[in-house]
Amino acid sequence: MTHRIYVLLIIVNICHLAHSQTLDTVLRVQEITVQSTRLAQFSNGSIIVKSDSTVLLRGRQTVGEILPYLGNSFVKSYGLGSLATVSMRGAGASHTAILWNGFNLQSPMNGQFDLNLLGVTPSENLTVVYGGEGALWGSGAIGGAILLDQKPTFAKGFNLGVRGSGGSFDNFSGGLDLMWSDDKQSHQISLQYREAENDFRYANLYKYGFPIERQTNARFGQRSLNQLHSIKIGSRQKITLRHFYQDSYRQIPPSLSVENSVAFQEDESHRIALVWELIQNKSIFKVRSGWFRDEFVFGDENIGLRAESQSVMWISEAEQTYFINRQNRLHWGVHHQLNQAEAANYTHLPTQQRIAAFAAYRYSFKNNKANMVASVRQELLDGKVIPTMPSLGIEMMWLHLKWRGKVARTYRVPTFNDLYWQPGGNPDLKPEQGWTQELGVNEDFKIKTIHGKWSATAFSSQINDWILWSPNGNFWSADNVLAVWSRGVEGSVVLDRKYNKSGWSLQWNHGFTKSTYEEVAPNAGSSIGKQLVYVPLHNGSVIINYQIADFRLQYTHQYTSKIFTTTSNSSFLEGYQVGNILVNYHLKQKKVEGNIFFKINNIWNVDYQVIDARPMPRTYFDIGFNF
Amino acid sequence: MTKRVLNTVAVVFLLGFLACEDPVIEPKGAYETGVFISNEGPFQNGSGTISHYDRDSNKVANEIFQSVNARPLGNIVQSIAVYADKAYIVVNNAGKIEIANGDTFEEDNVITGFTMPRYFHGLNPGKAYVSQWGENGVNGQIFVLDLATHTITDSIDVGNGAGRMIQLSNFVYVANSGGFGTDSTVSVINITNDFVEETIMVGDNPNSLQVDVEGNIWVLCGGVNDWFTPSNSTAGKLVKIDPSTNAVLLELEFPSIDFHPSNLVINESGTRLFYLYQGKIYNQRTDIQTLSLELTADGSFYGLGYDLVDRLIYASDAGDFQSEGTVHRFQEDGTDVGSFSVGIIPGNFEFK
Repeated sequence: MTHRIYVLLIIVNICHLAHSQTLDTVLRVQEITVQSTRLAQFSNGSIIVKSDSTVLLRGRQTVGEILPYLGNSFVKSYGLGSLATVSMRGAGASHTAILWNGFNLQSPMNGQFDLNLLGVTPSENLTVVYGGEGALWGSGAIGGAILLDQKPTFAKGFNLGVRGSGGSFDNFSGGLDLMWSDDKQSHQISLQYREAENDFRYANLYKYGFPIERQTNARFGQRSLNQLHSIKIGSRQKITLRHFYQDSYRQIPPSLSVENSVAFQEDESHRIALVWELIQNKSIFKVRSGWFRDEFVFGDENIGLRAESQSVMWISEAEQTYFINRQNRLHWGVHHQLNQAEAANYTHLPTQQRIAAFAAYRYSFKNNKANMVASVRQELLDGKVIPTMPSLGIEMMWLHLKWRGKVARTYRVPTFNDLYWQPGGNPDLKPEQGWTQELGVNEDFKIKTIHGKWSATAFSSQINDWILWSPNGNFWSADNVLAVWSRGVEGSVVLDRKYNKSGWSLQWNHGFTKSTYEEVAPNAGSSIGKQLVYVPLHNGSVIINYQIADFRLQYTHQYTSKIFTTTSNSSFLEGYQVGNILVNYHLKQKKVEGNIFFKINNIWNVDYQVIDARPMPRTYFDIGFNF
Repeated sequence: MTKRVLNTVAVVFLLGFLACEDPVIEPKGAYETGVFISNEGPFQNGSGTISHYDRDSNKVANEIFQSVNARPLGNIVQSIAVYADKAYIVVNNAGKIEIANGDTFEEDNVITGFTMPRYFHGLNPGKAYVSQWGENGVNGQIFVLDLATHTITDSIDVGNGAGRMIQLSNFVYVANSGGFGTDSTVSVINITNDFVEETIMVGDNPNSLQVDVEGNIWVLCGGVNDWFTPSNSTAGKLVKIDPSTNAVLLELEFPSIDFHPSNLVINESGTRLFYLYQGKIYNQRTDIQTLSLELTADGSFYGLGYDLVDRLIYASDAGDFQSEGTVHRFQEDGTDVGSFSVGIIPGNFEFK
């Protein structure tokens, strides 16, 4: 067992506020990571937060659980292990693209993706992009994008990884990773399981005297297989096959406002993707195709309901990055996507075909003090032309500060539920579309032995034709009714000091998001100008690390201001703050390397709800290891 | 001397005057009279609420159960009934009935063990009926309550989607609204033995009923609403029943299968019915043998009530179903006499 990185050993790099690319990039084609070309080379002007390996307990935590500590995303969680979606920059649950190795996993049925079903294996990287961009990321990237990437590694020999952990409420998880690679091929297989009784205690604020009760019907179990096989053909070609399988069973606990629940849901996912890459002297050519199948079962005996549905997506893309010269580079490609779904509430088997062409051009000024990227995407949705998606991003050095600016158009195509759900689906829906503008500045600095960086961003984003379900006589129906204006500021400060093997670091992210209803349904006049439901005005996180030799003490904290639950802002949930403490011991011998950790979650024992009447657990513990 | 006597007389008179007035001024509670509105509350999670409207002061108090008892009621507050000085609040998704003092709204008790309960109907100070949709929303039942011990003592199987009830002497008529299925019957229960004495065939999915001035029963049937095959939907019907024979006297069919009438109420004189159709308020004279489809007030209403005290129609507008609803008040001729803001999805009224 050789070098493995599960939880990063050093505390530098606490959170890379990497701003797409350093300005003095030298053109070195062979070293460019093909996978993230779009992110690294053509996402100018965006704030990008890479997952902090010291915060993320890989295999133990889901993306839904870790996201509140990566910047200032607001995660709408129905409880530990339950449905979780994200609101970025004041947008809705279906306005963040979830890109798995470049393929968007947002459901063709409801446009959402449950972040508590998304784990992160040791060889995967999690990246959060703040701010949407239709040209680069396609449909659904209105508030931002979450990227989960896994790269093949070569010439590393054989590695074995084992993980295990247990904690409060009979929460157990385990994992096994096998990796083998030589100069020509790379194989990675990860197995992962997680289960919990999840019968946590909470104060029932709906009952007389606020009694402490135990959560019922909250058990969950999840297992997954993730494999990657990559072969190099000669020195210039590479073929990579990815396969992912996951099944999950979850009971759905009762909300505080009902007596009991016997509801459950089952999710089963298959993902198969094949990528072919060709690296030439001045270009990288890539063709990839992925097949995605999701099955969903919801059952509730109380109302005699068992609903089954399934969806299939077939996504293919061909793209080329062409390095014209030192100053000019071009990225272009075509995209094809075929979606299909089956559900009892569709009267037919709907399909959706999306064909798109996209291009991005990057220009670096001669003195390397500035660069810009101009992009465009044109999509045909079921043969119909939808609005062209342009974007422009600029980065420059001025007054010893790095400045960034971006203007981009964003969109989201209607989902099958919006179009065909009976009753109320509306086949005449247009895509949602909007514009987003942002301006930011950041600086790296050094005070004596302390390295630091700060960043500030102001953004404004308009979303029009937002698809809303609203009552219409006998039933609810979907229509392009809402217009929303979201604007705000985001700031972050990172400080870290390191000497020998010890040191400390501090990171603080804060977001202020004013997101208001500008146009509403005729029967909802009282909500004009009001804050969107489930978009807090203030939201942020703090991470403090203290390292002494092989021991690391970490305090993580998230805070959220009050959350409105009615469109007229008449009702709201109180804001909350949650803190956690992690102690990690890093162990390294000749061929064995790993960590043992102990974590106290919600150390201040706060009773809080992120969704009305859905309690979150009080203090609970995790203990585990990874090697 | 005379002066002292006069003073004493005056003082005695004054004391007597105060003593006489005292018990009259003292109110039993803030909600002794007025209109209660049950607000279902947001879907899925949150809690429903009760609003109170004071006719004299024209003031509205929202979330009165929460403000008195410092806790919410629970998910989907279906209806409220005030009976023998107590308020019975039917909380559908939480499967319970919260009981509060009808004048102060202080919590009194709770009865649990229901499955999708709908309406409460008091029979005598010790006994009441509660209709519920039951398991799977198709096993409609009437539960018999002992109001002294706050327990369920018996259950009576009726039709699918057992809903609203009315009482005529010793008989309670239950509209079987279909629930998650369909039904076309009204069950007649003898309250002396709690047996279903008769099942009357009416139109599809009867949802509300009233008694007119002549003592006949009017049943409003919504008709079947089939989302998948709209052509399989059926039209609503207004059906008149003679309670002495339980025979159907008249069936008036609505012209369209696309819209479904609901919420039948009747005026103080018992001569004119009001109901909702396509969200608007329509009326029907009880002495006319054809469906008149006469519009009373345009709007997009969700619930309907009739206040016998000031002879006004109350109609609730749930707006976007995610924020406060509005209650509009109309005279019988459709004249709008004002509106006020209440809780989320106002559905039912109780006039006191």
